Amino acid sequence: MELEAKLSIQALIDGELSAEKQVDIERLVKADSEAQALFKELSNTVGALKESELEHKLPETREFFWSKVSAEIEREDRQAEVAQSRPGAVAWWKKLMVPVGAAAALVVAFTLFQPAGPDVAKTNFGTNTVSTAVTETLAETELEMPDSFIFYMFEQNATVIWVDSKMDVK
Amino acid sequence: MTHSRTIRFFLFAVALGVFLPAERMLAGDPPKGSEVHFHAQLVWGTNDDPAKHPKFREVDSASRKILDPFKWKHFLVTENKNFSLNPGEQKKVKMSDKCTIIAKHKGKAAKGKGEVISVTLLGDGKPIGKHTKSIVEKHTIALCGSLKNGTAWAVLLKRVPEKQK
Repeated sequence: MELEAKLSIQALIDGELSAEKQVDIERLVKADSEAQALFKELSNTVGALKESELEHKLPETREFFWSKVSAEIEREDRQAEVAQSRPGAVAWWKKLMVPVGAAAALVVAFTLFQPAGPDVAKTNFGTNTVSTAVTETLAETELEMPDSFIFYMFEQNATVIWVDSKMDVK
Repeated sequence: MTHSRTIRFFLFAVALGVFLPAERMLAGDPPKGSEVHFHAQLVWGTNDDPAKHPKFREVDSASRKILDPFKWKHFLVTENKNFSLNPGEQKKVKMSDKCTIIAKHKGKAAKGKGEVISVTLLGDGKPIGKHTKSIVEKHTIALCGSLKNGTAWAVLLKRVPEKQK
């Protein structure tokens, strides 16, 4: 599904489409299973909130915020220029890349093929017991939260992640 | 024959001398940073009258503010767990029969940003997702979602000072 169609589905949920466009997108949602799934997911996410969009107040003025962004961009540009003006240094590192890379690959291979058992331990804290019996394989699974959105609550000093999984945790 | 064996032995010794320290340097050093302490809560979001569920108490006011954007009227604590992590350490914390988190201390974050922690959420034993973040003391990571019956769940993972452990 194209990005434009996805954005149109979001606009449909937000009630931002013209009557004509709304009919088209509703037809798409009925006909296309992928569009239907996205519509359901977005509706569920919006439905979980009291209001469809959270108001986030910047802790500083808009001008000051953008001046910081601008300063950071300029700083990165300057760094890039400095790096480009030193071709000798880059060439020297490039020559070392192949042997260092090969050695690193050997070290990594040596590390990975070491036999390792599960990390098992038990820790007591007050009345609660927390068991630790986790294999590295599970913990290192790089898994993002695909159907989720994240927001930061400045005043509460909290990061909130809404996971749209409908899992049963009780 | 003897000469060849000597050369092979020499090469083997050189390889050991190079790769073993390198391997230790890469894999053996635990991440830096200090021990972090957490208070974890499993919370149930519902519009039911809390009086119907006397086993559970409402979340405290600070946690209530975190959950305030969500539409449910009441958030009841169903489980509390305290645990701590040393640098490089990970723990599997069972919050309910069906909800478990795996928290891992990934070392010190950039200056002033505390420690980097990854949290993997398991539902019914299956990984649902993983979030990695640098957190300072008193920061809370709230993982939330809806349940099939129209209510909601949340795992609140708050970094607490050692004395509150």
